[in-house]
Amino acid sequence: MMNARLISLVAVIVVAVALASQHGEAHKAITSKYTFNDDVFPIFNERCARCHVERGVAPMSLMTFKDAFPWAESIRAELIAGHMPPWNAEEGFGDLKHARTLTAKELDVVLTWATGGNPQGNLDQTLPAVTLKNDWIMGAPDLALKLPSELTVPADRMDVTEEFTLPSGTKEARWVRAVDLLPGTPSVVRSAVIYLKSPSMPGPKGSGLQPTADPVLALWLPGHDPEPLDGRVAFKLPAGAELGVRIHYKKTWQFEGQPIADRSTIGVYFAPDKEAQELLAVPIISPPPSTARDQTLTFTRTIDEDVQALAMRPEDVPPNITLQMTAVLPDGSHAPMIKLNTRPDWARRYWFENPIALPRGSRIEVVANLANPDILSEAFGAIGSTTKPPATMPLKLAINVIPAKPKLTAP
Amino acid sequence: MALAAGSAARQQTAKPSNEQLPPISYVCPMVGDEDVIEDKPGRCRKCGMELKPIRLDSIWTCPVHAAVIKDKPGTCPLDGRELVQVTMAVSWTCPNTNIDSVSPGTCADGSPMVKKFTPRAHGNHNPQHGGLFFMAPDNWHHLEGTYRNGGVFRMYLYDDFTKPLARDQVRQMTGRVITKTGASFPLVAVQNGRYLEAKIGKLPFPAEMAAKLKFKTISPEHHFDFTFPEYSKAPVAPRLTDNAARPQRAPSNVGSASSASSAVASTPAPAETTTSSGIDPGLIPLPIPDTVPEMLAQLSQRTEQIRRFIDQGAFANVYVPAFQAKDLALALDERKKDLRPEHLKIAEPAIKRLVRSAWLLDAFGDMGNKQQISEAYTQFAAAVKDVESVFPDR
Repeated sequence: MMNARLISLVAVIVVAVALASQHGEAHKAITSKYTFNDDVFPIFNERCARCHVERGVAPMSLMTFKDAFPWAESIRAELIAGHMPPWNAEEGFGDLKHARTLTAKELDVVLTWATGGNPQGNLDQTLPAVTLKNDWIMGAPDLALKLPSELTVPADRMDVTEEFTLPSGTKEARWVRAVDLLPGTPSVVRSAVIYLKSPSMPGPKGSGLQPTADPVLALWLPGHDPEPLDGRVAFKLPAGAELGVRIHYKKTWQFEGQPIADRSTIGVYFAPDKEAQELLAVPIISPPPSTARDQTLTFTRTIDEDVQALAMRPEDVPPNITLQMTAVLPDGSHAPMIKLNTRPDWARRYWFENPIALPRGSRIEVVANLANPDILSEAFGAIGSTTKPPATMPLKLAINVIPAKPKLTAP
Repeated sequence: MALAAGSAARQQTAKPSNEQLPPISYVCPMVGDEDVIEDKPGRCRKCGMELKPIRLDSIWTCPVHAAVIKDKPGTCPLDGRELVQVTMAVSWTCPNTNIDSVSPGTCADGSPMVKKFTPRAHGNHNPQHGGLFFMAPDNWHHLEGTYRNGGVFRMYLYDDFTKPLARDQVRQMTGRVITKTGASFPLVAVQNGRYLEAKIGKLPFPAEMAAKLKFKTISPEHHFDFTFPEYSKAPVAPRLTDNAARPQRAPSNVGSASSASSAVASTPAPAETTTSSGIDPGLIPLPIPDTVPEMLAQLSQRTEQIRRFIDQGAFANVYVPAFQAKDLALALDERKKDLRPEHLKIAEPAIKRLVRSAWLLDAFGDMGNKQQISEAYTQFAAAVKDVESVFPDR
């Protein structure tokens, strides 16, 4: 637990103090008006149960009062730092699909409880038991590819990153609307990148101006649902393609000193139609940052044809920086796309709520604040905060686009 | 004498039995686990001991004469200084017995039980030496900085009961004071460890300085910002003459709760910063108004009050207007359904950012780090601006 002493802040600081405040007032020990049973558990169950459950990937369950209250101070720190729920795009800049955040009211309820003495509520009340759900979110996939072998994180290691190659076994090219991962041992599968290894797919890594096929099929995170493409736009899976799967395995403290094995399964969902527009990617790469501290780096990429932007993903960016991406259209107008506070192990693809039209000549402007002081982590040493080395490598992002006038073709 | 020095309880004759009693809470009796407070009986979540019923009450006492206990604000009958509010456990006992009851009653000799007040951890965050009072990030150490005539900065160290630390603990500490010009002065233990001191010389007022302190050699260095509107004044000694019965003019309330006794009496407060009662309006809770324009007006006032407290270095006060603003934002959140869709897209995240940054201001307010609290305010003010931009102000 991060700082048990800070729990006492709880008992003494909070809401009632403000309400009854007078000059020179000391902190009062008044408990939260919200209880775990009545107010907090429904939020945790709705928002956090995918990971914060017994045998889940999170370091603690929050599904019972006994599980949750020792973590109250950590909960407070993670919430006010904006680290949890893990949605690293800043709301209000750009318009993104399916933001995984708490409402203002939910945020206040949990913080009030976490800092206000953590009352349980009615001791006779029995809460519904919450158990780990480890199923395909989109239902059974069209193609299930089990990893070729089991991977064991040894007893003396806390995390391991492993690369697997999976033959798709497909006899013909197919359009793919989504790719997902089902962990074999959910408590240790922390993140995964699933990509096409086929050498016929050049990928977006080149510096050419033309958008190219995006080899990254999925950036998988625990608790995050796959975002299926509609049948009109899809990834192309060539016949006989191989999938690369890079999995970051990470043990939580409960498993320290124990070996833990996993054999996950990759699920491929084919598009229903035989014709579709392939999802393309435009790389956006910065010049190498200088080694000076507190720097801001601005870099751009000009779009050379009329396209619609559907999504963006970080490809190679350091954690704990801020990236603000804006489209500067040929008429000079600005369209906010996304503002991202990068965090280690939480890279995902962000889908725009509506396609952003980018006429030829539009510029994608990225402003990276490499300092991005995380004031809360600095103050409290919040979970996951580490001293950040200065970024020296170029930053790499990609936006996913389709032509402004898509052409539906066979894969 | 410090309010929380020692654990000796103060006693008063019980009030009439129809007195409204504070509610019973259940606390852990284990030393160090006093922060466990439940609203139901049971076992301590930290150590498993059976929770003990107590009643917690806010009472008013003299800054330096803790024997004085009042149930409402006022001035100290001994030295005329403004009373400060602290939280204590209240119970009832009989003379020469170990009786410690959460309810009043009658002693064996037929006399009414005596009311007893016992200090609680974090029950007193008031300065003891006329300075500025902060809580360290470890939530156990507390400290008070004073800036005395002649340019001497002193730091007094306390535990979570605001009890002065043992001198050998103070002597283990290392630190320095950095002035606005960047000059650095070592903090050294003096008076055999009664406090730390740095001779920084005379600075123009408001005198701004930062103390960087390590509680132990291997501990992280903590940063505390101090802004003194004038030289700190040591608490006035008790008067044993007739004058004691005639209270002096209490200090103005401008500045932090912590700086109540740092006294800015020589500088009249701006009219908008005090009420007729002398209490800073930023510290007065108000009900949530009924209309959106009124809510916005109050939100604007709260934002300004927060900024003013930060500018004054009155960080410990910031949580009051911050939480009031947060509650206003939550009230506006309930009115957002009337907004146009394009405004709703701005309002929802802005209200969320406002709520989160209010909690951030609260978290940083006690810790005395100006950079952190200023950054939290920047987030807060930006969120307020966005909220104001989408809700109709008339």
